[in-house]
Amino acid sequence: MPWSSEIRTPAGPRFRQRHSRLAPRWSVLALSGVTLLALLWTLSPGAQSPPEQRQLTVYAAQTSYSLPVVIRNGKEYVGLLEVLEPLGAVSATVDGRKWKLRFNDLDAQFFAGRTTAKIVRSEVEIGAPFLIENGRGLVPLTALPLMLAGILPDRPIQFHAAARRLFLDKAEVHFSAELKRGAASEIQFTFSAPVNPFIATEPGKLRMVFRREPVVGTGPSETQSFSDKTISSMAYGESNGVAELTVDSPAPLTAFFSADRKTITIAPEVLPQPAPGKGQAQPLPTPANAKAGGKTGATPAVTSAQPPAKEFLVVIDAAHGGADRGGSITDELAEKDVAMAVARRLHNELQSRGIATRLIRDGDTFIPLEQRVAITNAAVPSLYIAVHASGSGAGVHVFASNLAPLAKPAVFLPWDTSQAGFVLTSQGVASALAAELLRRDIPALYLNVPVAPLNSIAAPALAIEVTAPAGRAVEAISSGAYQQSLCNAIATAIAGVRSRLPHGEALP
Amino acid sequence: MIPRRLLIAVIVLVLGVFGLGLYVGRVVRKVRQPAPAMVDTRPVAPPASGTPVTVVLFVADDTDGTLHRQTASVSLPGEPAKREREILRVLVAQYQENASPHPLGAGADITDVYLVNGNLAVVDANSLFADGHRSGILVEELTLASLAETLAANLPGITRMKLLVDGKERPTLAGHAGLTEPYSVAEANRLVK
Repeated sequence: MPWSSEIRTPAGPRFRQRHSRLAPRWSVLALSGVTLLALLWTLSPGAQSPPEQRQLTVYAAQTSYSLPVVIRNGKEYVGLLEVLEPLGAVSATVDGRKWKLRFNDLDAQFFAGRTTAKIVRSEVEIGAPFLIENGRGLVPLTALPLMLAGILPDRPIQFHAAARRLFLDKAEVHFSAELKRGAASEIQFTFSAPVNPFIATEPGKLRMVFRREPVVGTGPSETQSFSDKTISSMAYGESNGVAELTVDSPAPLTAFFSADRKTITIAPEVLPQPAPGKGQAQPLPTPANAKAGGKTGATPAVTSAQPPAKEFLVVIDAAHGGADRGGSITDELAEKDVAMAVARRLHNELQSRGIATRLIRDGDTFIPLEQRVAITNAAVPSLYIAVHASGSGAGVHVFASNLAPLAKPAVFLPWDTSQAGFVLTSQGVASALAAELLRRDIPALYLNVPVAPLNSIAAPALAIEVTAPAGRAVEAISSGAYQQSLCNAIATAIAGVRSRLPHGEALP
Repeated sequence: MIPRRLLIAVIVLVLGVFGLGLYVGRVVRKVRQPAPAMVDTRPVAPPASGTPVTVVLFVADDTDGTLHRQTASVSLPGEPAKREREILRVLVAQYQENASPHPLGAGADITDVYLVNGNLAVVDANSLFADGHRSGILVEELTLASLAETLAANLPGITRMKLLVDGKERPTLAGHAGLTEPYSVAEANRLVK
């Protein structure tokens, strides 16, 4: 029934007619109002759910790392320089709309807006326009394998486009799974190389997430069901630069690693037996009593810590990451990005000198300080270096802890002063590092100050703060050549003091 | 046929909707941008009247990472905590000068100083002091060292300094120098040139 018919007046028909003519206008107003509300709702911050942070993970023989993927014009793009930085000496220059890349001895040229690029001497179709943003060269993700084939001609490349996982040098780690049936069945995964997944359990499920390891299945995803009471199914999947193995079970599960970390056995959790007598102490969980679960020589996986190093190992810790941007070098350049770039260059420089390294952060992820300390101390490195960056000052600031050294060696060290047993060595390394930089006319300043988390590191430890070159604008801090020269000096200094550090006696 | 008035009304409304949409879009973008630090233009509290006295300031220098001893002549109140606050304000004002070797952000100020047990100075800075501070291990360390050393130089017995921001504890000054533990004057001594 039209609402105009509700009106009762002596001049009924005329009145009704007037209101009937108004009805379309009210409809238009209502429609406009709804449109306006919809527009406001669409633009309101609450209506826009945070987009998933896309990432590309690159696996090479010596390293693996993750990079952010950005969307431009509906296509996925990645920074080409960032992809190549961990793989060799790389630099880029912008000349108007031209972006020149030099990787080792190879040259490539890209033009903003063009869908072709010149790599070495070949024209390569890249499928979408090349973009330059703040000096960064962005290439379409789909064209990355083709471009890398030209830039890395001798290195095999495999690209899992849907999962954004790129494999170089046949780095893939394959696995097989075997269900061992019994009263309490267990499933055993055997990998072709040592693995160290992040393990999470939730009711009815155990997940192994492989962020750094190039674990691959026979396809992008596979699920296998078992007619078993304990292990009901297992699944492999990969997405957004990460691979994941999931085991389903109605019972709580535990993962056991073999000593060589090539085998992971997933078995029902063994609940602690009641104490034999009141007041009698329970044995502590050790690898030996882990045999109670039937896994001889295996240890329960409670953290993702690496096994202790028995070689000369340098742990490099790029500060900040993820939501923690660190300081703002410029309006667009964050400390976390400079720290990551320098850490990767240092990693390459040290590896080129035969020094084993481990990057605590190898992507734009946030890792709490306590976790960085735990990872480092579990690895028992020869040296720990925290890499920071700042827009203030010139050259490099080098810091070591200022804790009072221990009077005599101790077996147990307090968390907050673990560095006390190593502080003299740390200060010696920091001093040598600053001297090497000064010898190369790079401004360097060495101070003993309590920089977090140095005091909790149970190994020789120092922090470096990279700043812009002397007399240059702060933007020059991101120059590849400058960062390379710094890392070359730092790596030379570390190689020079190697014999004074733990596990440093043997030559590589 | 659609009446002309109705057509005009619809066009005006549609234009209004899009105009409002654009305006709202601009407002949303503006809100999402980090708010610039508000500059506190209020004048620093007037100095206390009385005979000027000579105070010691330890001024940080970013170029060599050291503290340089300087003196200044200022009128100070009689109460020790207020004296210390005024001395730190003189130091902060020096950092806000154009040619400062260790610039601090505009509007940075010391709100209060409290003395605890004669050896701990609790310094309360305003939010602009921390929010506008440059980020970096060295620059943050120098600021803390400069405050602590200046306090200790003018009030013997001070061995530690605790920095609060707007009366609250803060994890770091600007991302690096920890503020949860009191800063030791002995650490600042190492930086004095």
